[in-house]
Amino acid sequence: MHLKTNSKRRRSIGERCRDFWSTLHKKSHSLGNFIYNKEHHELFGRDGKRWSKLAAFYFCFYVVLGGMFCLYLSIFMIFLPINQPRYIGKDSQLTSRSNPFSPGLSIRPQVRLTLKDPLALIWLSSSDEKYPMNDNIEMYTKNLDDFLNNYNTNAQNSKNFTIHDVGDCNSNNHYGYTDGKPCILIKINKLIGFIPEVRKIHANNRHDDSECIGISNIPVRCMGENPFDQDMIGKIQYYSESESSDVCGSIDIKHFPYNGKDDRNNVYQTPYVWIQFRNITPHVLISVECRIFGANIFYDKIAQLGSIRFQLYLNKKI
Amino acid sequence: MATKTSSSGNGNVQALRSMWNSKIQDEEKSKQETSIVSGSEQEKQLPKSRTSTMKITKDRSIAARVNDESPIKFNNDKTAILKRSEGLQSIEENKTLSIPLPKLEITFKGEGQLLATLEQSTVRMDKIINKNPNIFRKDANQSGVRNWQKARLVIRSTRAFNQTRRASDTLPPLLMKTQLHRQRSRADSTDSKFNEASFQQCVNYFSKDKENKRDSSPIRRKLKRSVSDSKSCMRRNKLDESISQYEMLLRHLKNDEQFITEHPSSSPQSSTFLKQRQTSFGHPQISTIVAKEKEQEQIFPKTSSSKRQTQSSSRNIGRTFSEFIANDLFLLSTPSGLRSLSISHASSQTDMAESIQHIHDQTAIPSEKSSTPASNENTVVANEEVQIVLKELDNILNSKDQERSLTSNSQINVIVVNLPAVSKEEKIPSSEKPLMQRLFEGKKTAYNTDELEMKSVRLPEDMIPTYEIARAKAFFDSETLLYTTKMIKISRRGYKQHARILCITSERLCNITKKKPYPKEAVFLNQILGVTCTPYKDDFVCIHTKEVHGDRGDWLAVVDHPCEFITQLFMVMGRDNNSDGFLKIKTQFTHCRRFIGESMPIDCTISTVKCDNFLIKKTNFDAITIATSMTIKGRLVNCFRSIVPSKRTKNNEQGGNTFENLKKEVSIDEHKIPLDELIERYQANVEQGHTTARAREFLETNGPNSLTPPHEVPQWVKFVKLLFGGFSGLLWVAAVLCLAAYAAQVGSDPTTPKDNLWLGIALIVVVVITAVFAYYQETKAGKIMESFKKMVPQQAVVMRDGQKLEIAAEELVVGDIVFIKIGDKTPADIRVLSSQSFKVDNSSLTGESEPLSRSPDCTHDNPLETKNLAFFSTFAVEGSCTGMVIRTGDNTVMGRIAALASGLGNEISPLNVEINHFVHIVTAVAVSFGAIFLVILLALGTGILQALVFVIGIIVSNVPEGLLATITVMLALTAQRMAKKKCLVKNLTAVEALGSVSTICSDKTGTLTQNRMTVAHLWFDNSTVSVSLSHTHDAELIFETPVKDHVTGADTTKVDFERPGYKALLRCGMLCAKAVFKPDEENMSKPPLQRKVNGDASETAILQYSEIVAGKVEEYRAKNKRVCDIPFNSANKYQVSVHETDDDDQRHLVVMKGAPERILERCQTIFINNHEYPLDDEWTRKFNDAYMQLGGLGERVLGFCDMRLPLGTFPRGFNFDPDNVNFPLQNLRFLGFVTLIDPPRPGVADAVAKCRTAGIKVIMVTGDHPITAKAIAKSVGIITSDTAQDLAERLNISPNFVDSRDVRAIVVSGAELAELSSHQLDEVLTLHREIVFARTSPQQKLIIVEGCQRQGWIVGVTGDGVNDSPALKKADIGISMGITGSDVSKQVADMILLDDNFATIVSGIEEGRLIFDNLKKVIAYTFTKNLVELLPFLLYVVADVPLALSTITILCIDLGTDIVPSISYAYEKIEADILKRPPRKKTDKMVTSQMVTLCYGQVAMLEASGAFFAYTVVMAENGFWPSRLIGLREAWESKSVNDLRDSYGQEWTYEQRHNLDLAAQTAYFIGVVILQFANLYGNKTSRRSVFQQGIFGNRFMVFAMVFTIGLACFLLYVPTLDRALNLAPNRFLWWLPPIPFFLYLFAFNEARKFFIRKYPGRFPARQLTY
Repeated sequence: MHLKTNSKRRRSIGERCRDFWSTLHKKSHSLGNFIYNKEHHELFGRDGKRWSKLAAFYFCFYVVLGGMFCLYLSIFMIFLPINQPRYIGKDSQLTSRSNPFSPGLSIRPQVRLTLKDPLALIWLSSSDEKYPMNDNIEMYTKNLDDFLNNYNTNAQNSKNFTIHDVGDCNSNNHYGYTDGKPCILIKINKLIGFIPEVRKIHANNRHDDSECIGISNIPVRCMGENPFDQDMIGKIQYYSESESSDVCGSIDIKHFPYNGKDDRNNVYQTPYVWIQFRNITPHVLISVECRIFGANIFYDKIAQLGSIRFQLYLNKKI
Repeated sequence: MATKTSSSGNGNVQALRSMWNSKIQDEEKSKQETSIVSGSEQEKQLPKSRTSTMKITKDRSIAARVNDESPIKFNNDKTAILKRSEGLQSIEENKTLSIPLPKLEITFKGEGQLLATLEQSTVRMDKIINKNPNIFRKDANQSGVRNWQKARLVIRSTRAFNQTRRASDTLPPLLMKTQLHRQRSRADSTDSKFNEASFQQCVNYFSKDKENKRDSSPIRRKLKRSVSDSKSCMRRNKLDESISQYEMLLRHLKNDEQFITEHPSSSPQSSTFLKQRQTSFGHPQISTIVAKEKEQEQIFPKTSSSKRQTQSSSRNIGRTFSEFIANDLFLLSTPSGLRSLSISHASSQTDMAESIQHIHDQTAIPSEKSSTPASNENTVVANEEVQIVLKELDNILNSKDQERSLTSNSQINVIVVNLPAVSKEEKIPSSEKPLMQRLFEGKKTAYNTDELEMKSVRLPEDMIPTYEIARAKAFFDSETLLYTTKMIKISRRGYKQHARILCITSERLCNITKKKPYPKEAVFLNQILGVTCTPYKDDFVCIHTKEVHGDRGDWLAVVDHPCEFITQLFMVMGRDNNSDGFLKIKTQFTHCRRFIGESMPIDCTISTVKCDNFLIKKTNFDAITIATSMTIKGRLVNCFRSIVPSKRTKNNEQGGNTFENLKKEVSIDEHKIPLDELIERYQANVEQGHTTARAREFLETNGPNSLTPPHEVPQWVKFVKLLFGGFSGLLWVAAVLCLAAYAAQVGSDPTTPKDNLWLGIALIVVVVITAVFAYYQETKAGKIMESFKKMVPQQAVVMRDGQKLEIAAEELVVGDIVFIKIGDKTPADIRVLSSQSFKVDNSSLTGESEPLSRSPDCTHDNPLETKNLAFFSTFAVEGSCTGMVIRTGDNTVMGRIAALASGLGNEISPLNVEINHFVHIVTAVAVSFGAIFLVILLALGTGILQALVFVIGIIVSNVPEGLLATITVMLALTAQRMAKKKCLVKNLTAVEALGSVSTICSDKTGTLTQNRMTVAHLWFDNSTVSVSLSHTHDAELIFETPVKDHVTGADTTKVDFERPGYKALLRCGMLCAKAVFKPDEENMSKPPLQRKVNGDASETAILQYSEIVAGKVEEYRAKNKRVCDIPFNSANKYQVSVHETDDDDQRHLVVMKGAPERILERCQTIFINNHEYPLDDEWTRKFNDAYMQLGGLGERVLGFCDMRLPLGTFPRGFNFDPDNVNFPLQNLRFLGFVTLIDPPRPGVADAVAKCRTAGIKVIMVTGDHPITAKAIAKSVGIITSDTAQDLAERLNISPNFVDSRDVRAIVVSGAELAELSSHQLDEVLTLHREIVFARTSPQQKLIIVEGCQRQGWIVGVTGDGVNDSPALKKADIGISMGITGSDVSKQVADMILLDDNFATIVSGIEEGRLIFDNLKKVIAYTFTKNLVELLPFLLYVVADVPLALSTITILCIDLGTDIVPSISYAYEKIEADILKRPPRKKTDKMVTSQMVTLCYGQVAMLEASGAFFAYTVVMAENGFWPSRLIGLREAWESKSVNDLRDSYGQEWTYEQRHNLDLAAQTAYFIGVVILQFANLYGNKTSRRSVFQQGIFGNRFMVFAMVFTIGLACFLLYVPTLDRALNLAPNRFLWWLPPIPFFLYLFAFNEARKFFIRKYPGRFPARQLTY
């Protein structure tokens, strides 16, 4: 297929312009006529009767189509399992050829500093600074409060999760944010049917700290992403369900697996670990990477599987 | 000069002249015009010098000659003829005769030259007058015999001018006219009722005695013609009133006795006149004559009213006649080109070989204002009519001179010419020839009845209503509307004036718009300050006003008849002179061409300037011409203006005006003018040839003898256009956006996935591949000029410096003497000087394949038919010749055709129009969608980058990337199919074009007919036998009316082969024909009809016929030995041979065949039913009846007769001498005749009928004779009803009374066509359903095609010759013949019929219509998908649903899965009989609003629902319920959200979500693929149910679906590929969700079509289809 070029004679620009305007004029006239034709009382080429016919047709058409869609969808939804998706674990799209079935980590607080994008950046500044950033801290604390709310409501279940020794990491202390010693909550993503395997741990990993390995829990550990970050990060205190340590945190394996909702209700309480950064070097942006370890926990730094990265920034030493 | 003008009276003339002469002398000296001997004292030398100035100018070489600074030349061939014919006459006579007509039309920018020429002519005039003062005063009666038959009298006032001269110089005729007019009261003349009778009166006038004439009854002639008059005049293409009157006039004037010679040599009488003239001239003649004249006719200003009336009536009559002729003359020249305007030229063209006898210059050198300029006349007149008119002229001039002054420098030239002598062979009784043919024999240029005379209303028909309203409403009671003309669209100060009416009333000048027929602007006459007129082609008239119109000021008007308009204005204003410079004619001008729509280059610009320096600026022309013509009565008839371009400009504006000129007819006069003159014109030397130097000089000025290729667009420009045209532009935008987005992303985050980069690259690749594809297509289109060049000879044998040389044909120049022998190609257009049985094959030019003999004699006015011209590139098939080159290179006939064919732009095929339309729609949709959502997104605060990505998606989804490729493949498939049907398609889009054709202009020879002669009828025994021959069956001979069997006495129609009459005829036929089959065995083994034959066409036919019916013709001939043979020649028109027969008769048998009437002349008896009857009147009548009947069928008739020579006188062994015939050739026995025809091809009639039912108009356009054309047209069904003539004949009424609306059929000959204005042609084309154009030239074919296209028809042209090539190129689809077609025609054609059969076209049309339907389906199919691809983006924006379809996946659909299914439409069968519906109109678009609403509003919605359903299913089954999806977009796309919770509480990392996204998008993709299958079926038919059509009927479609599924699987399941394409392996179950929607869509389409079928014309049929 070729579109032959129109070999019209060459015309001056002025003439082209005139041509253009004249055609435009004509066109606009005919367009006006098209929009509303006084003679035949036609709007866009149709009179009222024909418009109503058309409208009736389209109304019916879309009603039927919408109905069909909803019908099919509802039939489908009826047969959809209530508490667990139809495809879980390795069957689901959580797993792909490149990404095995493995949970990611996530942190709290997670707030939006910008309007659009939540940032994995904890930014702390003291209240007596020239630029008061208290609302930031409020944001963080509120976010953490909200998250922890779930844990306070019902306490009858054995699987309920509580950390008894939380150190500074409580609402009253503003989770240490006002002191410049922020507490960060780390949790494992809920994946239905995922049971972590501990003990057998890969070697050749700089996170493989002998102190953390060997316990029956999933070790959680945070480090600076780079040696520099590691130098700046200062002392870290872990408050886990079972203990509080300055070496690593742990999550008890008993909380696994997550079995989906119970009659469309969330009853499961996600286990977590508090991590408090006790003396961060201020005025330095510190990249922190936290990891969990386990035999079937796949670590992928970019896909953030088995790990989470976030940044800390302390404006001034408090 | 002005200083000496105080003297008055005629006596002063001589004094004035001598002054004038001396002035001229000075100027001439300075000019060094060697060719003109100047000086009034050197009168004796004049003759020679004058002779030397008589150079022949042809129109086309004017430009060149202008550059040469050669002296003014003009065509003075008549003089030359006269000289030759006079032979013995004295030199003095020659002097008188050879008065050159100064070429006033050319003005140079350097003014001096022109002055010189003007003055030169004046000088010469003076001298002549001085010498032969009486020259004009010949008494007509004295001549006794008129030496020429008709007189044409043209008085021409011409004025060359330039900037420095006073433009008012041109005014005398105008003034005279107004003066004349003032003599009559205007009201009077308008009331006159004699408006129709003028011609009859004119005839009466001329038929009367000279004396009677004087007191002929007072007749007033109406000044104006009424509208109805002129309309009736123009009605139909033939025989309008005025022409018939004209004819009557001519018939009257024709003095047949003096018609004898072919040469207009008639001069003995003229020579006597000359002598007389010379003797009587020496006195102060003028005054006496004037006095005499005054006595005879009262000079009008002083006469009493009654006398004035008398006089004016006679004047009117004279005027009418001469005006008529003058118009004729001038009009002949006008269409032949802007730059060819010279009256001498025009007359030479017309009368060429005939005798224009005298050119007669009359010079009036008036003094300024007060003086009485004298008018001197000298003329060589030998005719009383002319005498009379000339006397009239004298009177006028004289009286005028006394009354008022003419402006200085005015000059009036009188040309007295006579009409073309009718050559010998045209002496057929005039009634036998069509009138138009008789009238315009040899004239090629248009005769426009419209310009016959001044009319009061000059408006096109569409403005007449406006005019009527205006006339009723617009004017004050006090004023009368006097003149109305049309203003033409011009631009002034950026303000556009559309067509308007310009009215002159008694008080005002009004300007009326079409919309509101009230005076838009009006200016009172007394407020007009002046008028400036430009003689440029546009005829701008600027009317200077007092500034009453504020900003508007002056009026700028373009009127069709500026001269007339100004004349009228003058009359109304009562102006009779221009002494105050009221009218100015300016050359400098800045203006804009008005032909916006036409293919004229604009070389002039308009600028808004103040009224007082309103000028024409011509950027391209060096010289400008204005010539004002008037008739004897001093009335202004026409104003000619012409531009003579310089050589430089000619080169500059190729393709513009030049190109328009190419469409004009070939104007060649070289075959008509005497050889001496020709030699002189080209400075040739017959014996020695050109000298090398002169040849080189000519070569430099005229360029090489080769065809100039047209300006070509560089290849890379073409490629770039393809690269950025159409959808490609959009895709480029998308690609650039992709790359930009990627760059920005990478800049911010180096780890960004390369998606956008790949997408950008993919888009660029798509675009480039498409462009390369298209470019390949385009370059295949070929090189037309190449094929022309192939036809051109390489070498030529030429005489140079007295030696024969073989040089490259390119180096030939005009005037070269060339030698051509058998097998050569003619190296240029030549005039044959001598020939030896020279024959050329003109088939490449005319399409007629018969070799034509060429000899030195001019046999026809038409250059294409005369025998003494051979044309460039024609093939010499026999003999040899010597010729003089008269045209070279692009000027040749072939060169013009080549330039015409290659200069025509490619017509955009209808399909491309549709596709472009589609592209525009899609582009508009894409751009507007993109823009709207870009704005929305930005308003919502989305980042620019994201918004860009989004816009890319919109663009990509909207552009059907694969469509163009699909269409190409479909067309190629159809083309392949058509090739199987012997229809080779060169240009793919032509496949469809054939389907939309609404008119087919078909050539006759070779297309409709078999292009070989076959015996059609026999006539013997007083009865007609029709013969049908075929390859397979025996010959069938059937009497058309049953005859009584002479044996049994029963009526029978079967022809008994033993009938004596038949046997005798057959014997005669066998013996007469000399043609023999080519003896090789292969040839002889074929059936006779297919054997090759050596011999001419008629003999071949007879040979083949007799071989079929009798067999062994050659054996028979051997038995009946030929003892003597007189070959056919055009003078005898018969052929004779004498045989010794093998029957028992020992007498010699003389057999003769030839033109029937010639044969009959030589017969004494007629052989009927075995008896010989004397050939009395009764038999002659019967013979004539049969002859007329068969001849009327367009058949070629050959008569046969024989005779036994008495044995006594001619015993066996008698020595017959064919050269000096020594045996009787009279009193033979007439046997009968045989008619031959080129029979129509079998199946053509059927095909034509099919075309009819398909609503296609079949027009026959042929170079053949009208009668033959009509006969063939009737036999193939192109004409099925009576033409006007038939009807008239049947009803026994005059053809004039037949309303053209009553007849469906019309036969228009080329000559008639030439007379038609384009408006009239439109009328012919629209009013008649059955049209045959006969005797057409290549240019006319082009004009016809253009005419058809003007009607909005899509035109197909079939043709095989080079002469058809311009029309083929111009046509929407050109169809050439594969077997007989010339290379050129094949090259320009879009399609080639491999079997040369017209019937093939019908199947082509069927295919074409099918492909249009199928393409429509493809577009609907493709179009639907666009919205389906777009909707995910919409939902993404509107409902924040994660994107359901990625851009790459869109490309997968467009370029992958959808391609094969859409191609499968190419195999779709027809739904109904598409040959029974009318062709689609140009307004029937491929993409209609119904299609858009159906596709977008319904089908796409359905598809999108299905695809979204699949998407939601995948999402939901993985945890994200539809409710969760809405509003999820932000979190979904945020990389830092590592724990997005789904409806089941699972938390998804970004990577995991992305993975899910791919799966869901894949589901959507699958949904689209599956639902497109339903769409495929939905579009499979437009009305019928799919089940009726057959679900699996289209095998390819089934294959396509299987293939598509396979392709989809391939894309999904190949490990790395799926990631690259943003796809994921799909679960089997996820293929299923679209299925219900598939069924729903299928059902919907079936229901839709059911309702369409059931309720045609109701809502579903209107809205739910395309």
